[in-house]
Amino acid sequence: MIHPDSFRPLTGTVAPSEFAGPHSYGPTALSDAGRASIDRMAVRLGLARTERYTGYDHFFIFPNMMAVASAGTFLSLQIYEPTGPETTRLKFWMSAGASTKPAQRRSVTGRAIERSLTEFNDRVLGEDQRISEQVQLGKHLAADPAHLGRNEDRIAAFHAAWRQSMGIR
Amino acid sequence: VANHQDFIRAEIAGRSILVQNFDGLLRGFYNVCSHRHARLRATDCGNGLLRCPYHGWTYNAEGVPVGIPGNSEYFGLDRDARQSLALRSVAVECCGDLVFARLASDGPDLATALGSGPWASRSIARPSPGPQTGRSASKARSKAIIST
Repeated sequence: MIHPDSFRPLTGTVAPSEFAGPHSYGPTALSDAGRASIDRMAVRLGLARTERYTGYDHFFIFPNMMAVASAGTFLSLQIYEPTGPETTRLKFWMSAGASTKPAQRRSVTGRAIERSLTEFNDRVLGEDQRISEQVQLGKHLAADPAHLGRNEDRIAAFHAAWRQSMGIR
Repeated sequence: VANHQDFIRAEIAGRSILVQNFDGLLRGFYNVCSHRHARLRATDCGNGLLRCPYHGWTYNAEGVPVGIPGNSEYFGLDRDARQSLALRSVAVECCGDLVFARLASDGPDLATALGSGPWASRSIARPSPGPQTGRSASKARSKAIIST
């Protein structure tokens, strides 16, 4: 299974998806360990947080943008750019809110936290890249469409919106 | 592929296939998961359940997904539905220690394809005697000979 030792332990219950036209929202609760980990970083660095989003809140903006809020503390933005029939470029940014402890954020500890966050994201994205490449290779062998489950309704919605936008029935 | 759950991966006419030992029975399949189309095997050989690395769909000797995480909650696939999602099979036959695979569902069997010449001899397919031992000998026995 994908992300068994990296991202998966940080997440909990998946709530029903929400849709707005071709765009979608996937709210997922954080596990106790995931929440505690982000809480520690937020407190140590004095990071501003929003109470509106408290879990792993994943927004997909059709056709190729994703925004993710983690515990209302970190915001990541991903843009997928097709560069050819078989290749895609991913642009990724991650940011945190303003800090009430700017000196702490610039300190050795602050930089170490930032580095660990970067390394964690690189690890998860690397896992995503490797499995995505296997899917890209595998799709040429498939005789039938992917068989998506009810927990993959956002992917099904994306496929439908993409087909519609491309004029494919 | 001498042992249970040993597998090899190969390409036939640009298509990735896998051959796996299921309790002594060799079965061949297209190397792609029925769920989201990830390749089931990303390495040339190894040992393990025929399980997709993406979401864990696990297949039996008939290529039927018998282990689907969250099936009752998210997929609701009964026996017939799972049967319909079986992997596309590849014909597999052995000659000595060599494994032959054929993509087409019908066609001549291996004995017919090899004819009565020296290729029909099972001894020609055995690893040459000599210093090959342990890992290298095992690797030689895993070599796949493929045909369309």
